[in-house]
Amino acid sequence: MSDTSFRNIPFTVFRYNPQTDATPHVETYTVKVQSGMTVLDGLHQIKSDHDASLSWRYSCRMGVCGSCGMLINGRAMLACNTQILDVSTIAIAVAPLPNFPVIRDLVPDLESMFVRHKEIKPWIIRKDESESDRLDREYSQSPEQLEAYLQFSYCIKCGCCMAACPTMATDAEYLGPQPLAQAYRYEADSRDQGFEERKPILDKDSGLFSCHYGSECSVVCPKGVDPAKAIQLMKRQMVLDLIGLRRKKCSGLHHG
Amino acid sequence: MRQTRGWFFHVAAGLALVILLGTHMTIMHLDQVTGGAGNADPALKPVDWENVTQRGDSPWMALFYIAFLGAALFHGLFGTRTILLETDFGARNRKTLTAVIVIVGFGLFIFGSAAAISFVQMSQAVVM
Amino acid sequence: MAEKKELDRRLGIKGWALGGRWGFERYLYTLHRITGLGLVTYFLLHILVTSTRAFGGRAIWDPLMGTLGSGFFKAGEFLVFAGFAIHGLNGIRLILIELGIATGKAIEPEYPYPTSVGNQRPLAITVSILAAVLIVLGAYNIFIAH
Ligand code: SF4
Ligand code: SF4
Ligand code: FES
Repeated sequence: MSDTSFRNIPFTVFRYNPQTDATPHVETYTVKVQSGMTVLDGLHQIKSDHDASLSWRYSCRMGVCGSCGMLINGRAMLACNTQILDVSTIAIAVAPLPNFPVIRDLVPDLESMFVRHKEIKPWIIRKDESESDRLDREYSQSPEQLEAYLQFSYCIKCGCCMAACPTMATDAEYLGPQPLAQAYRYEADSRDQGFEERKPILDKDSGLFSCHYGSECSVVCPKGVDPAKAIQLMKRQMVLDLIGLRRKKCSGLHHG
Repeated sequence: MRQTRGWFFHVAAGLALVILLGTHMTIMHLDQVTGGAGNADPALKPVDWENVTQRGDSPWMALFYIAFLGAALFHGLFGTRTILLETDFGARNRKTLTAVIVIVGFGLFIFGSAAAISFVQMSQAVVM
Repeated sequence: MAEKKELDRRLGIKGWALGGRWGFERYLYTLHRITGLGLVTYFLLHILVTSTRAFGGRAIWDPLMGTLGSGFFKAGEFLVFAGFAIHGLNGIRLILIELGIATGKAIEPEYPYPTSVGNQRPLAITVSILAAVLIVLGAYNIFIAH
């Protein structure tokens, strides 16, 4: 097959319109697939050639905004970041991310994730809040200190990890891999002093230790954030703190 | 530290069980492979009365049983609770569930400990 | 504006086992839960059964063990032994992971992104092999040697 030839591949798409449908159903469309086409391209083709009412969410088309996470052949992935022929040359099934409510068709409501993300205080916490008013100092970081959290800061909040997590599948209160990984992203930051503030949030029921290393979150994460790793490293800090062995960070503050 | 503390004790009990249950399983189910580990008469089954009472003939045995019982009950019931609390059913009945598990745990601990102690006393009488 | 009407799509308990295309570790997760629940159920009954000897002596013990030594119960005992081997060894793996020992540190991710799953994979494999060896020994001991 040369690069320009087309191949007809059936797309089975989850459809649900809350205004007219009592239950969701699936519809199958034939998509003319060319090498290099992404699942997002396939959806555009369906919208222009078959059914203009098909809805999904996307923005950047380049794996940056985190809008287009969906279940593609049973796996949570970014539609824009996934080439059709890499998934299957026979058939494609597309559904919204599970573990989130559906607004319409392929559009999940990610609000529950955003709320919990906010709950873990995803910002640098300083004990002395007045520091931010004084512009005579800076927080310098060594490359090693940067590397300790950089990986986890690449999260684009696509929700793929939340859709793959077995605890999320049943525990409606669980904080979930995205927020928990971000808790560690700040914990690992040499400038942050928020451990004590985040501790009770992580330690509550359905918190940090409701993760049991099913590890699927890390497998599906499209940005290499490895949330399962961040979560286990966070657990390590909590356990060290419990037995009094957690090392306090130095202030990270340098006079300019 | 609610969840962290729970996890910590769960894991500590689990580690104790690797040793305690490991010993128990070796005696009961690997006796032939190990040439009769922990059994007075390797020709008999580990559960035969002679072997059972020989093992029971020591106050240490009562201690072993009680430690074993405590660790296994805690680890097993805490684990069950963890799994159930992750379901909608568990989330709705959190308090009741915890109460039932605590009562079952303590009940069986007291019952099992009493049995272990009186069995060791009985074995000492038999073996003498 | 119309009230937001949404569809709950949490996977439910089947999500523990069937929520996607699971890797090896995901099966270990499911197996850990199943063996754990199996072991507690057995253990609770086991306390009651074995305690009878303290109260009834040999007169109750011998016939009881006679019944429990039959084929059906032997198979049950083997399952308990297998559950113990899997749960115990996998439990050690989980402790090493949850304390961040077997997961590795943060890295600069480069496509295709390696994950902590790969870091702990040798451990997962070792533990599975050890469990298999123990299970074979147990099977020999329970079904053949006795
Ligand atoms: S951790 Fe990965 S999968 Fe989860 S929301 Fe962030 S980018 Fe998406
Ligand atoms: S590692 Fe933890 S957070 Fe990630 S999928 Fe598994 S249980 Fe969920
Ligand atoms: S459209 Fe932005 S990540 Fe796919």
